[in-house]
Amino acid sequence: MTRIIEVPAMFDDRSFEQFAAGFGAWPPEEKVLLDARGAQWASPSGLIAMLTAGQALAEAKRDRPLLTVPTSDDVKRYWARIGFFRYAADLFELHGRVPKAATGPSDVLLDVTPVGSTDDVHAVVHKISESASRILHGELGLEMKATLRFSMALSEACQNIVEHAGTSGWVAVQAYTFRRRLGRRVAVIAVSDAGIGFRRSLESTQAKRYGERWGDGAALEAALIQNVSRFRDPGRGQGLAAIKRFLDQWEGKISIRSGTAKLSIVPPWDEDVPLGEHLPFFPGAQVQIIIPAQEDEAR
Amino acid sequence: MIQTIHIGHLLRETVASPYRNLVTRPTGAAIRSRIEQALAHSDCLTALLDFSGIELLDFSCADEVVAKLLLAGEAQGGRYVVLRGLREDQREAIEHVLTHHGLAIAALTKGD
Repeated sequence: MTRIIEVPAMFDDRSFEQFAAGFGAWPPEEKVLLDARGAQWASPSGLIAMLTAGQALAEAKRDRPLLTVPTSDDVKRYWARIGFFRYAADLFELHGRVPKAATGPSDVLLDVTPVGSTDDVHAVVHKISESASRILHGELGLEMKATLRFSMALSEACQNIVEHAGTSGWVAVQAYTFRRRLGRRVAVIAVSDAGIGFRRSLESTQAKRYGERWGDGAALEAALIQNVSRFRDPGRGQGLAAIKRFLDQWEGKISIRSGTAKLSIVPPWDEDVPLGEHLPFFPGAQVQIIIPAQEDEAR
Repeated sequence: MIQTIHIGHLLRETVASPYRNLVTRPTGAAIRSRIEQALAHSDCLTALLDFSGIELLDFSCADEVVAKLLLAGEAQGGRYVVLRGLREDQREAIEHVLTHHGLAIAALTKGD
């Protein structure tokens, strides 16, 4: 038997729950097929969510899942351009023709990149500095110092995989237009891992404090709002705090989804709920950081 | 006498490449260890940490390099540490981590 999970036509953080719900109880017993034939667009978070699912199934020793590639040539070309198929080929049995990845300037600040070690974080930071300034300063109108803080946020988000997930993950960074939500360009950092998740990471040090309230939502609250870390080192837990401060200055947004909960610091331009609980389970943790273009550049 | 330690040189020796981004905790811990070795072999009472060769400094490295150096120095009844060559974003990262620990440090500004 095969469980067919439809990849949403517009796959972003809002349609993520539809995707997660497709897996049912985790890990699914049946062979999984991700049906992306109808996909029209996927955000960086959508793309790396698919890779995370493939990775998590492999680590749960499930049969290698299948992925039917998008029917649209434009969509396929874009997914190839951002590096999705390069890694999907290792995790999925691909069905459909996959184009070669094109090169040249684009809105991709950072292709889909695996993160599993400190060296990977160094490489990510080095790569982003080359494209970030052009897009963040030139197109989004962020001050030069904001592009450096953007790189810092990226570094801290990636380090969380290495330090907490217990396995590797993925990162991708892209600029695009939030037409309906905001009507302007945004830069989006998406980080995802198939690891132990925030709840398990913080359980030994925090669960007692929360008592019966302990769960995925409480764990996210401890990490993102109270800046708690699983390490007893008093200097820990500052990475997310620093990201929040940076985002506050630029009306940005951070969302962290782990297990069955999602916590967001929501700026005025967004209608997301700050805390979603009892969501369909999805392994590991998914972080999304959004920086909007500054008002002058939005016109 | 003042001992000057060029953080950029230490970074490139530690990662064995022409790299200018001071990011991640392991890298910060390695740099701090090199700083402590340099201080241990010196009679100078004041150490000047020169960040002018550094591009990006993330919070993890700021904590590992500066905050933990100060905390270790406190425990050892140590010497004076002063910073030089910081850009505004680097200064803010260091300020953020030091505020978290309730610490302070002197930094030379441009023209000093």
